[in-house]
Amino acid sequence: MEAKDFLRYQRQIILPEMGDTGQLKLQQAKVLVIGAGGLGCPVLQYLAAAGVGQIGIVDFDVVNLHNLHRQILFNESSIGKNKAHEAASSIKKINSKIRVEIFDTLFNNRLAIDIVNQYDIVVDCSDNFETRYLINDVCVLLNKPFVFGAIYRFEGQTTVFNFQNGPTYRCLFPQNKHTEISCDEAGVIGVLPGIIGVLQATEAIKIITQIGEVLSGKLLLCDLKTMNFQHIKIERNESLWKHLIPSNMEELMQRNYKINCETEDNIEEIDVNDLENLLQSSKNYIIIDVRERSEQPKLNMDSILEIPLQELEIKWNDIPLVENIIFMCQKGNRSKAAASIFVRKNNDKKVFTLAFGIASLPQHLVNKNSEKGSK
Amino acid sequence: MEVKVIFFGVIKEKIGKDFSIVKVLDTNTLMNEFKTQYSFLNTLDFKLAVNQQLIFLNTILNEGDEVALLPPFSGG
Repeated sequence: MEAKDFLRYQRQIILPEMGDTGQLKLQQAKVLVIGAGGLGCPVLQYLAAAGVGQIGIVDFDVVNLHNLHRQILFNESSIGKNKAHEAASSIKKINSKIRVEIFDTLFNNRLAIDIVNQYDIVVDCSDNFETRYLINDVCVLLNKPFVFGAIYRFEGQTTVFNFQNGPTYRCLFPQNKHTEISCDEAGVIGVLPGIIGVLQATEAIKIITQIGEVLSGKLLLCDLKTMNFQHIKIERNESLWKHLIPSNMEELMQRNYKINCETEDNIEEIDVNDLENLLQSSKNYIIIDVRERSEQPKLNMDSILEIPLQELEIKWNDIPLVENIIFMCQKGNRSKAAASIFVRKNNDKKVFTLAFGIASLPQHLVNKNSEKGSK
Repeated sequence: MEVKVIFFGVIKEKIGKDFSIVKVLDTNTLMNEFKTQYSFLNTLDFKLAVNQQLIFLNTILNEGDEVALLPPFSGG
């Protein structure tokens, strides 16, 4: 170890459990952080500071003003820029010695197959169930441990899944039957992802350095209102999920991780290509942007109606019943909720939602002027 | 048997309290009673833990047991 490195890490190297050996393990470790939002920011910050040799960052979203109260790697000049790039430049300022790999795209099946195997540990800092089940399955197939963290308002959950044949996420919730409740929608106290993210970083460091007892087989529940922290014991039970996960990488590639809502026959989820085709072939459409009015980037398309999700129950009647109604939000979660509300009010009307939301749109469909310095 | 039922996340919010004390024999009966009283539980996928141990099958409850209702969180 170089003298300068020794100085940088001296306060943790002098820990008897750590020593030179532990620090070397950190330098040789490769950790993939999926999601550079509330959880991802503190995870990245502490892993970089601790000297984890290679860090991968996956996030396709851009920084918004309303992220800044909790996503502490960003500042006002980050607004409109991609989170993976911004987080990378921020942690390189903390530690220029580490290698940072940036994936400014969606974590989909293809990316999962391409990159997860190149890392030792995955840290799940995502914000939706589809990604969480994909992370679970790819980690089970590749035998990688993943550090799980999830938050809701004042409460958080964290544990390490798939560690040395320990339980997986599907031992807790075998199937994805859940309705998404995002931080944008539900609200979140800014310190919560900080606390849960730091716990996730701690577990990643413990796995790498083999210090202490890894939080496997126990789900830690934290309630910041009462400061009650408690463990729930979970056991690995493959009979719950063996038949539910793909049996190999080929099957994983073909697997659709989107939630199938049987009751929502009138809602069709479309991707960016479908959207472009639809916009070109039909003039008879309206786009309903259900984000808060402050959210960036603004859309660069015709026929846009802005109705934030929370106002939809009152304003659904403002939506003209044209042939193609397309609901959009930042990442594709709120638009599904909005579409269900609308379909309930207009029973026969078929509507579309944009999968992965406005953050996944190409440059020409969003208003560059509102992006404040985006490339 | 008197048991303490503690709530998390959206369940805690919708029920409007942190816990309830209930007289009940086993977890199936408990769930039937709760799902009748709180209809939102019928459409929510949540898990049960008895005395801090996750369970998937009906479990006999003893005096003083603690049952937790755990919804999934997806926020990040």
